[in-house]
Amino acid sequence: MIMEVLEALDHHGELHATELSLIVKLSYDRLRNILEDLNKKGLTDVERLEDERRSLVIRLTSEGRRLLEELRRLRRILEDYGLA
Amino acid sequence: MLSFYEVVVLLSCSTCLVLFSYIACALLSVYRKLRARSLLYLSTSFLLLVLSQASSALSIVVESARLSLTLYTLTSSLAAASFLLIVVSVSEEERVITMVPIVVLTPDLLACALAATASVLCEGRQLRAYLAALSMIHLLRCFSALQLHSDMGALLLASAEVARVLATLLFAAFHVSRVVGRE
Repeated sequence: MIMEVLEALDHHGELHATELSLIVKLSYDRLRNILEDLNKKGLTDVERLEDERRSLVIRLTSEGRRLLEELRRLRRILEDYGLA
Repeated sequence: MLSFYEVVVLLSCSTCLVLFSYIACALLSVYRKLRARSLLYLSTSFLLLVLSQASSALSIVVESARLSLTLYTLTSSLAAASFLLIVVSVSEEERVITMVPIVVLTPDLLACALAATASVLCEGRQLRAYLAALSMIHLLRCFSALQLHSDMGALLLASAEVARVLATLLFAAFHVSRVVGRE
């Protein structure tokens, strides 16, 4: 699931949390937990917009992009073990 | 001087050691960034396979027979520990389900090993053959327990059961024949 989140962010550049939850087909609550975790590890950058809805915009950091490259290299083996 | 067999096994072990190390390092590198427990289990399982290969290679080159036997045994113990970690890493949420085949096949594995050991220790040629056959049948049951979700598994289990019943019947008849009519 983490890989799908990272892939979506890499593909779209930046995404609103609601858009991301639709793309990766995750409930907003579950996605929020994953994003908090990724943010704590410095893999994503979350910005709260000063609009009416105070929505969140998420981007990959350079560290997140590096991790995604490594995950892509390991994708097939992780899929084989049911971890991706 | 190493024999051809020893050289082949040593080369294979060394190659596996390098390849498993590469995978373990790649997985550990991702784990360091993600801190996902399943990745830690999987990388550790590959590290155990590295150790298992090292132990296998060392068991061939060491001079002492005792040390060699210890390392030889360690090879399978490390591999078993690695496979257990693979089970845990793959199915953290479904551990109870994956434990079912392990529970089912453990008695068969034990029966297989004990029947094989008995077949080596016994003297009678026919008895040794029966015990060896029973050992193989229990091994077949182990395979079928792992494939229970497929048609192949059901077929294997049915074949193993038929073979086990017939072998046991012959085994019992053989023992009776050794007692009856000996007066």
